[in-house]
Amino acid sequence: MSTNFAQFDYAAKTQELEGILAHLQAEDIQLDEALKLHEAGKVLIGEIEHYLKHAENEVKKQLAKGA
Amino acid sequence: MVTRDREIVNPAFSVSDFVAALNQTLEFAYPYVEVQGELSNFRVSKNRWVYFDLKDEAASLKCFATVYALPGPLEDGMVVRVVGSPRLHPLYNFSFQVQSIVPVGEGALRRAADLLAAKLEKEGLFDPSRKRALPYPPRRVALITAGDSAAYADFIKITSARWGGLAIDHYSVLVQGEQAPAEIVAALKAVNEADAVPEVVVLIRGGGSAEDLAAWSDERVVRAVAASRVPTLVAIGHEVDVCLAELAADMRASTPSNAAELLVPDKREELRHLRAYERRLNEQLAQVIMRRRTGMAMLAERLDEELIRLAQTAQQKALAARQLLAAYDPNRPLRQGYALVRAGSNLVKQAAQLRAGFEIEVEFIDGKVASQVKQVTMKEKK
Repeated sequence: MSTNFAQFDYAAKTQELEGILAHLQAEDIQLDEALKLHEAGKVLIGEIEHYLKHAENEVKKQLAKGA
Repeated sequence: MVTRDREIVNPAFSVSDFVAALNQTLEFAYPYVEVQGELSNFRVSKNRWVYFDLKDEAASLKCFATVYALPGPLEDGMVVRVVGSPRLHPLYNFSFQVQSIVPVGEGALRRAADLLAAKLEKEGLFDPSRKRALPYPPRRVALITAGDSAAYADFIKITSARWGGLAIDHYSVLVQGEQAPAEIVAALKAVNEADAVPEVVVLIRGGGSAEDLAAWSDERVVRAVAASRVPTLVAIGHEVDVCLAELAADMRASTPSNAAELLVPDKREELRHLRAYERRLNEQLAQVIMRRRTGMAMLAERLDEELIRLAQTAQQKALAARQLLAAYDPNRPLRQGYALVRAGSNLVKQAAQLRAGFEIEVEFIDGKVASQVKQVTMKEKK
């Protein structure tokens, strides 16, 4: 699993997961498509869980020019 | 020059020289001095020059300033503390040249804040329609506060407990005192001009007296917060303290800790939501499979029904065919008691076919009789 948390867009990943769940609710969805979506959802959940458990904050001192 | 013993030492000064000498003395003795008193005759000229008297029970001091020294609107009767230096103008006499003015005492501070609030509200700076939604969660924020403060420590601690992956750019500033507004404004400017522009700028300070918090109702600070292109989250003092910078912000938090709670989600809560997402994912796949199975079962049932219907139709057709066959069974009339008469191999259907003496064969259901015609009697035609 990637540790490049700076590039991880949590809001976008969560929204993608919501989209998969909404798609799965469609009445006319075919079984093979549902299986693929389920797999994609599991991967996303894994990525999000990894981020929540391992990402840490980084504090940097900055100077205000002219202050 | 006249000495203390009233002895004239040097030749008399010219007026200009004396004014210059006096100013040198004043500059040496009072380069930078604070004076506190009550405002009187306060007026602003041409939106640039400020004139007022600073007075107490026994004396009055003429003051002059530019509008940039004002913390906000002021009015006669307010007690203020001014910082500046005395000068004797060659033409306009003595005045105290003011570099900064701050209201003093809770009453004056409250009054100044009220005046400024009314002015800025009229300009629309506090209008709810100006408030922008903050990204949730953000990935990069700027934090403007004193580095060695409890507010900073609380904010960092709570943010770290709740969330990870956040980049925090900390700008350390004075959060109270006369120099605070200038530092806060400079920090806001730096945030908005940063190479990596944050998604939110958080301005916090902990509790304090009305004077301690005065910088956060300074007009320069309030305008800078309102003008920030980066959305702002401001938390000053305790729940009951409301500073004008908070009113101008996109979002106000009651305390620095509350600011951390509003800024980022709680990852423990998010992990619980994730488990719920996982359950929903599995449930929905199960429902798709169930729908397919139900669909197959329904299809099988329909197939059965169709087969039954076809079988019933075939059965009915077979019955009809049997009935038709039965209707055309030559033995049927024999079973009904009729007899078949043949003359030779020909079937006799009418008496007119026969003559007396013909040899005939009569077939019954149970056998045949060979006989001879004795007489043919025709029926009368009607």
